[in-house]
Amino acid sequence: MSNNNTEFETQLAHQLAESVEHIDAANLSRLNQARHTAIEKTNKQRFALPIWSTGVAASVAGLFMIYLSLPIGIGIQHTINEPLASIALFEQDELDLYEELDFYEWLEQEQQHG
Amino acid sequence: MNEALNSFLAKHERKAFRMAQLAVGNSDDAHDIVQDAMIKLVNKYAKRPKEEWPPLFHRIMQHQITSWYRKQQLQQRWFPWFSNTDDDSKDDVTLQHVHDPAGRSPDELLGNQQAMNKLEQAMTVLSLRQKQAFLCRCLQGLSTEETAHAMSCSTGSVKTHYHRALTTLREQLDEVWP
Repeated sequence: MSNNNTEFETQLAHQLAESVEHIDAANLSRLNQARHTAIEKTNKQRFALPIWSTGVAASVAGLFMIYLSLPIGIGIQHTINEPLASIALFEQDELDLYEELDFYEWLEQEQQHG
Repeated sequence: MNEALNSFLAKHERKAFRMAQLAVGNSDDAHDIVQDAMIKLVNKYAKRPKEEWPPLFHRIMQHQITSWYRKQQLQQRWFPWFSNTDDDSKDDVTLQHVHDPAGRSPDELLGNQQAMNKLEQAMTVLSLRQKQAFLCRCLQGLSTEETAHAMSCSTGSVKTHYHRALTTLREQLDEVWP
């Protein structure tokens, strides 16, 4: 407060300060309890996930379910069929190889006869 | 963090409670106001620098008191049969000095208690803004600027409210403090 306090203001301030100093035990106990409640609530909130996180988790789960149920899933089958395709390709290579072998055998015979 | 908050609240809770008690005129509502203010400070501003806590707490307190008044006015207007009387709560204020730990004589206690009762009675004449300005300045010891921040108004308004409050109280308490 400013220095030019009147005597009246000083008396009032003193009276109020006295009443603060002499708050009864019951009220002090309730104040103490209120303070601990406030601090405890903060601790609980600190470890609790925010409300929006539940919504985000639900949305992600929903999108994943939709992804699995849509024909987009065919993409997954492609990867499953890929080994079969590679086997088919391998078999085709083998046929070419056999044909080439026949050619070399014929060439060898021709060279022997020739 | 918790220890710092705990010690800050422990330091300010008494004045905050007394301010709320004098502003609203009953202990139960004063406790609710202080607890709500504590929770709001802790939830919203705990991570702010410690130096900012006192002005924020004063501001929250004033906001809580103003909200309480508005609720009361609404309740009295629309549901007048629910309005509670403050007689019970006044008793615990007047009987608080039955045993004085400071060891003052019964005459001193009685005189002090009577003066306090008269001050409380005189304060009932003040408007809410006058009470807030008076309590911020005289009870909390805030400057005009700090009071203006707490009350969310200009320093000019604080000076006006405070001056009017003092004038009214001087008239009312002329016998006690001539």
